[in-house]
This record gives sequence, C-alpha cells and structure tokens, in this order.
Amino acid sequence: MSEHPKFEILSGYHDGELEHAERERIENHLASCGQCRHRLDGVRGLSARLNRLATLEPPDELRGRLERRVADLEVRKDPVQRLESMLRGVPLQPSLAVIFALIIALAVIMFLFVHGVDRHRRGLPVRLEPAASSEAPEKPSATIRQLAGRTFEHTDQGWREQGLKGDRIEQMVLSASAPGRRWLARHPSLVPVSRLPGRVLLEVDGHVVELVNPAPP
Amino acid sequence: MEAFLTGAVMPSHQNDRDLAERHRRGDPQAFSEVYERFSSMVFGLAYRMIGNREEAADVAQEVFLRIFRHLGRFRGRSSLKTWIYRITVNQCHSSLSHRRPSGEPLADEHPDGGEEIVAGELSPERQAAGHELGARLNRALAELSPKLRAAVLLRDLEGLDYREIGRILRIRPGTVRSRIARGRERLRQLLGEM
Repeated sequence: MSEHPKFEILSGYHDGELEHAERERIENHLASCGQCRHRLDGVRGLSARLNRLATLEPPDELRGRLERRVADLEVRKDPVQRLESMLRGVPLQPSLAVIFALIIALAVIMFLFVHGVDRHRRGLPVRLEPAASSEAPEKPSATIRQLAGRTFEHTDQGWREQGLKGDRIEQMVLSASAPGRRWLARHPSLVPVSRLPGRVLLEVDGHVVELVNPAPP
Repeated sequence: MEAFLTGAVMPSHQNDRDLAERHRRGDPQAFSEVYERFSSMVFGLAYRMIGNREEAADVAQEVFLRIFRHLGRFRGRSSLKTWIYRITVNQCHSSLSHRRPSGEPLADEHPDGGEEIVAGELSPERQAAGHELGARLNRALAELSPKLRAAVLLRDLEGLDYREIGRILRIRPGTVRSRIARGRERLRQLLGEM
C-alpha cells in the first residue's frame, strides 16, 4: 500500500474491526510508514484516555427518588394493571387465582345457559338441564292440561298436544332431533327444562310446569 | 410498593430472561438486581453524554423507570445490557434535544466528572494534572454532536464492539466505524493533538 490509509481505517484497525485482508494491508503499510504509526499512536492514546475516565457512581439520593417514583407508578396503575399486579403478587397468588378461576367458570356457565336457551328458541339443539324439584310448583295428576292457551293430553304414548299428530312431546323436546327442533320452533313459549324420562317440564310464560304421567289405574 | 432497592446484590451472571420473568411475576428483588448491576453504567454514560451531574441523575431515573415499566416484556432478543444501553442513549438524546436550543455548553466541570483515573500513588501535582486532562477531555466530548459522542463513548468508555454499538444505535457497523472515526478525529483536533 503506497497511499496513507484514511483515519477511519486506522481507527477501525485500532479497534480490531477490519477484515483480514484489509488488516494485512494496513500492517504492511505501518511497517514502513512512521507517519501512520504516529497517527495510530494518537488514536491509541485518545482511546486509552477515554477508557481511563473515572467510573461514576450515581448519587445516593437516586435510589430513594426512584423508589418513590416506582411506588407512585404502582398506585397510578389502571385497574386492569393493578389486578394483574395483585394476581402476580406472591402471597396472594393462590387464593386470588382460585377466585379468579371461579368467576370465569361462573361466567362461562351463565353464558352457556343463556346461549343454550337462545339456541333452543332458534330451533337449534339445546342441552336440557334437569330442573330442581322446587322449580316445579304444579304437579297436576291429570290427563288433560291447559297451558298457554294450548291443551295437552296424556295418551298411551305419553303427552302430546291436542290436535297435533306426531311424536310424543317428550321425544320431540328431549331428542333434539330435527322434528323436535321444528316442534320447538313452532312453540317458542314452551321451554323444555328437563330431560328426565317420563316427565315433561315446560316453562310456560315464565312458570315451570310439569306434565306428569297419570297414576296407573 | 416494597423497598425493592434495598436488597442484597445478586450474582451478575443471573440470566437476563429469568430476571425479566421474575420481574413480570412481581418479584421486587428482580428490579433491585437490575439497579445494582446497571446503575453505575447508566449514570456514567448519561453523565458523559449530558455533561451535568444533576441532569444525568434525572436521565438515569427516567431510564430505570422505563426499565421498571418494560422489563416484564423483555424477551431476550438482545442482552439486557444492550437493551439498557439503548434506553439510556435514547433518553440522553431526548434530554439533550429538550435542553439545548441555544447551544448551551454541556460540561459542568464537576471534579468527579473531570477526573481521570491513573493507577498508583500520585503526587498532588500529577493528580492535578490528571484532573485537568480529564476536564479537557470532558469539554472536548461536549463539543461533539450527540451522535458522534454516543458512538465514541460506547466504544472507548464502555468497550463495546461495532456490532453491539450498531444494535444499540440502530445503525450499520459501517456507520458505527465512520462515526467513531469522525468523533475521534474531532476530539484530537479539539485537544490540539493534530
């Protein structure tokens, strides 16, 4: 190399950041150029002086200031962040996690219930839950029952609506079959709430009514 | 908030991602460890960049607040050290851009900031000379543009290689090399060495 290398190249050489070939060229040049060795010494000297600048410790009060600011940040967190923070707090984590899980489970159950009723009203298959006994205030042992302007009668095949032919109500209500869905779609005021065999629990205008099989003669 | 900065210093080889994960889970000791490991580095770089002890402390405080807010999201794509350098440099640039509309000089020539460490026992005369050299160097650094100053400091004060500096400043290694060389060249001019 006959030309003097640029300062940038010497600087990069000092830092050990040149490619192998370029480094070799610089070394060959330096071997025969006192002027560039002097320039390189200047880079080394400056770099060493910068490197020897004192390590500075932060002022003692910085720690306290920072603690106060962080505490302030914690207080100002929005509710979601605060809840998240609480949930990740070590001592509270197990109990809060359980409570949180229960709340989510309850929300899911309620959603499924509401959604299930809605699905049934739209004539789609629904999951029918057994009704508690207290939800069936009326248990008339009769073979004919008037409900919501309709007349139901008990036949040898079970309960059916008068004037309608086809499957028994239990089957149509409980089977979630295509005829059952169609039947439910025609009777939006009747909400089946039971899948117990031999019983038909219907919600009629907000009341749960059970159509029970008559006692055997 | 617990007194998170009062804990004992943990080993420096603590895995960065583990530290972030612990912070995310709410372990106050995690942030304390970050502070212990990096406070000198952050404050030192901020002081050399800003040239004023009080403002450097403000910058360091903002840096650690940002670390506190975002450490939980640190994913370890770079080292924690690189990540903190980047935050520090950005915070310094932000502070400088708000502070110096009229070209106000940077260096406050505080004795702590100007001194140059020289090994061994020194005579008072040599100690004074060391202080003067350090103060001149600080004044010269203050004359550099923030971009050149950051590149030179990350290389010569912090000892980082070009690739790491490039990650911090988000520039290519070739640009790093150019900035460092220009910064050094300018410093030598300012120090009367060229």
